[in-house]
Amino acid sequence: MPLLEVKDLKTYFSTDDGIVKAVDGVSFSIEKGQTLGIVGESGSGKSVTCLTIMGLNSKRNTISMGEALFNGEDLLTASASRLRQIRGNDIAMIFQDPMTSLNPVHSIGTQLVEAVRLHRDVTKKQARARALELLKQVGIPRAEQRIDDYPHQFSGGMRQRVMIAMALINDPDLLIADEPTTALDVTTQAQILALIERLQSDYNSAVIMITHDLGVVAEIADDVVVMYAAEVAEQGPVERIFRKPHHPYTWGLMGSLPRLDADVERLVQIQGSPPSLLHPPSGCRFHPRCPYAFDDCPRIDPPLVPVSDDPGHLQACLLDEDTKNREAARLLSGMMATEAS
Amino acid sequence: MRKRLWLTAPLSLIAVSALAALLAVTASAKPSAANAGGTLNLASAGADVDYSDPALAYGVLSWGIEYETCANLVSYPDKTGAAGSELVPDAAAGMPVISNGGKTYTFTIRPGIRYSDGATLKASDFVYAINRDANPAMQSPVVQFIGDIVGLNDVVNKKAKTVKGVTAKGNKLTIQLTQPDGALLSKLAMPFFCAVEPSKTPINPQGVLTLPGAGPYYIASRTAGKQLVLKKNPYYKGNRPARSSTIVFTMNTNQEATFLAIKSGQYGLDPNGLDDPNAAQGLAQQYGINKSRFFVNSLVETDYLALNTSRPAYASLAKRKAANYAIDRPALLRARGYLGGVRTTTLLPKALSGGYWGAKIFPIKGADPAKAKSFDPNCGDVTVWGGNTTFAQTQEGIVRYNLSQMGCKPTVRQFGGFAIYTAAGVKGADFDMMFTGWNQDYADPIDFYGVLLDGRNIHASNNNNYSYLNSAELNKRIDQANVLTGAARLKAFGKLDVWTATQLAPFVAIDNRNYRQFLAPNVAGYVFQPAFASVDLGALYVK
Amino acid sequence: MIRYLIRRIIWAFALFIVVTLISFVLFFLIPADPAKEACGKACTAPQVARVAHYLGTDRPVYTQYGKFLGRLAPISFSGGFHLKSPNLGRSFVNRRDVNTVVGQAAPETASLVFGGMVLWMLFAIPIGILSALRPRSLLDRASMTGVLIGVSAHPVWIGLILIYVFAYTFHLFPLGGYANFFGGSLTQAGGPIEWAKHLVLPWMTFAFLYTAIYVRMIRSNVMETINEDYVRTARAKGAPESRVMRSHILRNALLPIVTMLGMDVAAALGGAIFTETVFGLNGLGYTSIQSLQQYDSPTVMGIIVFATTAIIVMNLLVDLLYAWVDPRIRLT
Repeated sequence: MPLLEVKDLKTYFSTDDGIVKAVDGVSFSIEKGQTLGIVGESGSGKSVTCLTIMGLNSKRNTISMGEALFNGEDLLTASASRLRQIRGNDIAMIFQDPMTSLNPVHSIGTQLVEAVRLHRDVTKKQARARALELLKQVGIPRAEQRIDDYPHQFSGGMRQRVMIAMALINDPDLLIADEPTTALDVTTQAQILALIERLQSDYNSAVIMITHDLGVVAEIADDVVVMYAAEVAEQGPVERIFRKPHHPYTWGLMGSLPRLDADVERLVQIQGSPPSLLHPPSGCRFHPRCPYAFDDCPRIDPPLVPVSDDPGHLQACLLDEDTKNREAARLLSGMMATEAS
Repeated sequence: MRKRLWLTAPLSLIAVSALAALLAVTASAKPSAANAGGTLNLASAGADVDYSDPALAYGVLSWGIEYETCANLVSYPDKTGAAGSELVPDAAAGMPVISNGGKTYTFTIRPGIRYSDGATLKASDFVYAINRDANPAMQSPVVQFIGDIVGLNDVVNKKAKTVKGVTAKGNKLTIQLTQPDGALLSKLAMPFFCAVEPSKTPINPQGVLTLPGAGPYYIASRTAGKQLVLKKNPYYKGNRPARSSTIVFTMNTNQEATFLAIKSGQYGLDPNGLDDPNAAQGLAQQYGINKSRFFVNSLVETDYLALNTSRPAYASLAKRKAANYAIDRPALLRARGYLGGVRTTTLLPKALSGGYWGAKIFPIKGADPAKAKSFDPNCGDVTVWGGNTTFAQTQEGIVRYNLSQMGCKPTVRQFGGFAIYTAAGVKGADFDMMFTGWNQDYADPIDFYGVLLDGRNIHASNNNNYSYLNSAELNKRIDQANVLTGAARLKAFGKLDVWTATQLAPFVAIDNRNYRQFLAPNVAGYVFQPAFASVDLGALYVK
Repeated sequence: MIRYLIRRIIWAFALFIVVTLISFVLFFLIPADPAKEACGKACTAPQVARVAHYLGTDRPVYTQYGKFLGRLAPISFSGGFHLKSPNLGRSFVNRRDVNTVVGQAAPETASLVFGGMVLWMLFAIPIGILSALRPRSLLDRASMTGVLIGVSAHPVWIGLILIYVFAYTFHLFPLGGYANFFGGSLTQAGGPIEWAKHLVLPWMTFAFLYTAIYVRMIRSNVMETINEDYVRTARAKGAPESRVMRSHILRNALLPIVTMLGMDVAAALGGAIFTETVFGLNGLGYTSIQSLQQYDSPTVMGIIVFATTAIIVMNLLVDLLYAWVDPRIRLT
């Protein structure tokens, strides 16, 4: 049994303007100790997917459907109190902006102790010892002195380390990291990713890494889900997708990877901006931005189907196999070429 | 969602239960019903007495209280109308013996008068009172009235310790004047000359808050700004009324709330009178006038427009007469509301005019711009000074209209508070016409003519003669009338008043104001004391 | 911290001088002569001059101001350096010691303001939170309508309606006036119950406007804070809603309220003029208006001194309190 199995997850928000289908039929699963990357532009539904699993969407205007089986227990139908038991204990989450994700009026020690005591019947002293241990593990220098400091006294990178410490403090089985490095500078990004990887192996946790950066996924993920406009465009083991991406959107994401030599023309670029989820495009949702779009694309909604020679690799594009092979090869050789030059 | 109520529920519970508890507490307490047992509750809306010390008290409200608590040499009876304006002996056994050509007054003190603390009133108490008044440390306002007492100004100016002209010998009190003063007795009726017990009234510029009184009441307690309590003088043997055993004044109440409280009987009345002209008509219709709960009495007061004779606009008699024809008196009076007063064309109020009041020298039924124009065909710029209240602005609008009707070009300048009197009191102030009025300090016509029109009192500043009139003829006539006493005096001044209005016209008299009063349903015995312009507190009682 | 306090005290002192100096000069510029009024209406020029000398109004404005400051200073150099109690002088109108006048008026205003504050916070906090939690619900709409009425209605109007209904018609509360918290006498009501009884309607009137303002403020602050990332973090930790609200939302949402409350209370201590007038409370506001109408500058100056001090002290307290509850603030 996988640690978490998400089946046909749908999350709809009702707004003044109508129903926004923020997640529209997403399925994936993750095993203990594994890392799943969810990739997509902002607004593609990757964060909402995880918030739905955590039960953190506002209840008033949200409709969730499908299943999210955590150790076989459906989180979508679990009671609020049961969810609270799971949150922060079995599943923990790290957020994008460490500057705003910590409560400014409590010391980090207080916030860490709170995290422990919400789930463990321990004394404040024990909880504090645990907090100190975690702070040291995530590499906060002089943790004994700094435990009573307030968030504003830490740098962004340090705050994210505190967030990670807070997430891991109860040995969660699953850690959801929602763009944990986006708000940080490049050097700190690498340190934080390395930290997450190291702690993952130490604690044997599963990790869902939400990112818009395929580079991050390439570095740490075992499996990857590429989301576009609330739907899955392509998903599968990371090495297969990188070896032979099937969806023009994935090509675009790969083409957007940062190049050291900015002079080289991007091989594939994604034009335009993500569609409105209130009125998504007909057929393939990517077609208005797709340079390969043809007559069928606006008419037929492509199903997510396995690649013919690779059943673990799913894709949703109407292009014929030859074109896909050709373009993927061209993209990869181009990337190779630029890297070589 | 329901759990989010955790905090809000107890908080609102606290708020609601606190209110409920208070309501429960208050609901169990009965509303303060009509004050049986001789306690009369009065409310003074928006005002407290200035002082409760007779040497300092100088206001209508405080004088009404001093009238009840004081024994003066002479005073006024507890009666309304003409009877209430006639001086009678009070602490004196009879009217004084006047000798030395009107310069020496000898009083005999009635024996057996006692203060509320049991002490006997002595002739020397009056000597002490006058010396205390004159003491420079006291800074009593009385000095404006009694400069003619021998030696008084020496004390005021720190040249002597005691007033030489006031002496007591046994039960005889002698007052000597530097010159005859026909108004002396009226002045002596002022509370400044109230007998005080020397040991209970030290020299203190702040005055005493409470003191034993030799009148029917005494001031038993006072919390400045809040409350004053009168209690019956247990040793009082005179025949003045003291119907309530205790009179409690609540000071500085709210106008509207006070009206409601009087309506429901929580307060007997407001001694300041009914200050809401809009309510007068309804009350008159409901209760009639001077019958049960609504009373109207004339005050010894005159509202007038001073005409500045020192400036070209009103330098000539013809121009001043023209103004008297041009002004619409009924319109100005209407601004005071229903039964606000009576129209007049002369300066002296009825009580002081010796029967000459009511002479229709100028039109009182409305303006006569044609006649005005015939007196002054070439009226030019006229600067009018007045107040800045809504009421004042209404009146200023009427005057502006009246003046333009006769061809003048009026400009109005408005002042706040009493700033207008300081400004207009400076000799040479550039106004032509000014809204003003005068109410008596003591019941004598010289308090009007001596202060307002005697040209010999004009100084560089702080003048009351806003007409800046200095007529030798008028001054001579004032002096002639001033040596007279009694009915002849009033008659002489009444005649003088008519002569002044006709021959000099230094003012446009408008009206004599009324005192309107509204009584609680449970209060009776209403008497208006005209000399003190006050409700007779001792006569009032709870039914 | 010490440096901060010293700097604040120097500023407060400068502010105090500026405020009192401006008020003093304004009084001097008014053409009305208090000596004329104190002397009596029939006074002649020499008599008025004597009273002016007695009152000190015949001296130049800088001398008068200097004397005012000298009386106010807690130290004296005349007859050797020694401490003395500050003296606000005497009223021109009734010669009462202004210290006494302010001392008598301040408790009434303080009772009104602090009691009103408790009342309006008791209403505003729950209503504000509930409105924020359920925007556009019936409660939210009702409270927003209440807010609109609250900020539009004049306290005199509200006060008169309350008096008419609760005092005049149903006799539940007195028609006005004040009862001392301690004591009382045969003719004057006193004691805590009487005190509260006299103040319920003023509190309600006073709280009406501020409840409205604070409901709005708390509502928008809570709505803003609910969407903060750290609130989501708290939920992700598995914190129950009650804890999220108390420890994470309210702590942050109510922080700005502390400042507002300090400022509003301090300003109101200078005198809740309308409420005091309607209910016949001789508080600072009523007294100042009455004294102003009589050009009684010592009394008005006394109240200005008191109000300025109250505002300065309240602001300092609020800053210290704020630094204590919000770790981001450093007093430097």
